Amino acid sequence: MNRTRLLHEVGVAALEWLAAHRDGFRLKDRPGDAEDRTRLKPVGELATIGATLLREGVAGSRQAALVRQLVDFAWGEVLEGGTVLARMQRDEPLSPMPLELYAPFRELGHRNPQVERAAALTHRLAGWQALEMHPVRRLGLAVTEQRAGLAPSVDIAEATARTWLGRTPEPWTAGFHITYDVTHTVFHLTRWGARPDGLPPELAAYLARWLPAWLHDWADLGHWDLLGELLVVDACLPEPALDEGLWQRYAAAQDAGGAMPAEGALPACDDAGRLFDLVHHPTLVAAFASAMATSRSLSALSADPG
Amino acid sequence: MSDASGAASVLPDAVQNIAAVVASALAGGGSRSSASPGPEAAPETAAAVSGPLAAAVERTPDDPVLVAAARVLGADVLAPALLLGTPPDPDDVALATAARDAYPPGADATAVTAWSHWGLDAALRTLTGDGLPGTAPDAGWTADEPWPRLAFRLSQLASLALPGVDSALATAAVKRPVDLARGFVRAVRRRDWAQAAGLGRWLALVPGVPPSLGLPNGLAFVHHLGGASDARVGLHVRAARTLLEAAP
Repeated sequence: MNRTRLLHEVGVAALEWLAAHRDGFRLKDRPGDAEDRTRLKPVGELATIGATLLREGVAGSRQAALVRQLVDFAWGEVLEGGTVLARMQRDEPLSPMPLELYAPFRELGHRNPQVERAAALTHRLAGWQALEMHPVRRLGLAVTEQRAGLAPSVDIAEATARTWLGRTPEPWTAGFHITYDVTHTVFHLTRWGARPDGLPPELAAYLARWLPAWLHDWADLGHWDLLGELLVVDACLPEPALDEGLWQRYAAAQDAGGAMPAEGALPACDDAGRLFDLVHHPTLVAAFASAMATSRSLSALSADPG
Repeated sequence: MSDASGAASVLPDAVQNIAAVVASALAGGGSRSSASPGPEAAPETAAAVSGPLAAAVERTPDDPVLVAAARVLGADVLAPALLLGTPPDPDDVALATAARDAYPPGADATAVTAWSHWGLDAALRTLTGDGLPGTAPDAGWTADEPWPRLAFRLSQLASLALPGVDSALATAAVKRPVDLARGFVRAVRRRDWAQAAGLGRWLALVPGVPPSLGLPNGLAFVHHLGGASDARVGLHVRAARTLLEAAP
């Protein structure tokens, strides 16, 4: 199998699984139930990654239709056209989460004036600017503000400098949680791969140097969720490695049905809801990594006729 | 059963004991009285020994276990003389010579076996000026190995990371400092202290190591977490520090 096809097929299978299991994104099991807001995070991830898939345009027409349907489903049926987010804003005006969830949908053309009014109002508060946050989340919020048409409450460069990656520390100190912080710093700075040049050159150089060590480490440990995120980071670099050996191992970890286990093998689990909770994130990441890597691989092919 | 397991542990124990003595000699810089323990200095477990290794590990010079252990450590039995520039103890030279002559590599020897033997021979030649250079083993693999394997194999041959002992391995290491540094990162992440220490030693020898690796602190970290259970980790870290201190 050629490399581009290998990269592409991981995403095709992942998307098929997500489409077939989209009910897992619902916030409640039955229409009358109270919504479980702890289930919102996957919805935001779906929108963010769905936007990438549509933008990169490397999916076939069936995949493009599936992504569009998934995003529309999440907006219309899960978030009730943004009403769920507006309700959250009333309950907890200073929570950044509704805006973080809203921004990717807004970029996909889904708008809710109520959500935007509440966000604009809250954004003026000193209390909003003063929210205590983990540095990578603070960076993410500043980028989210920009994406939502608001002024970032912290300068992006300053927010970047406060993250772990922004300080380019000893690469051997990057443990499990720190590595997720690194991947998310890259996702925020590149707008989830849309703007690779959003990554400052010194950080791109640092990553080009040390990313191979992290990729191999997490591949050896069989942690496919983190490996997938690191493969996205690779695809965001000026000269991505798109290491075929690593991609083969990643593809081999994927279940025949398209689900990507977070770690090791897919757990045996009869409860569909529980299984969804376990694998929706790594499977979304697989779709994301595949779209980014396929796109970069195709650009390399078109740039190099030899 | 106790006889068999006892015999099996004699050689590894001897290797550890000699490595500890060599590491201690390196830490003492050849003269303990002048070694001022800085804030980073780890507590010494054995006094730096002046005098032959055999005496330091309480074995007779012709003890076969001592000779075999010296062969395992290769050029590192002479590391204090090579790294600190002090004259080697004649008994240690005799021990290294006996180890070299007792265990010549066979035709089907692995690269590690062949190179460590060559390194021992080269170290002896460097210190004594005697003998003719032996044919160096193949080093072609160093050009083609992907970095994880290159790093692992060179870490096993860290006894050749010595000033004054030029080899095709050292030349290869000079060409691939970033790959060795990646190996160091991966080894620390995996808590493979032996590999990390060996690579740290090569990295201390070659130019072009990215400053963002944080090698000096990395060596201290490896020593702190891995030195207590493996004297060879301590030996490589001490050797690396000596190399870094000597670097221009």
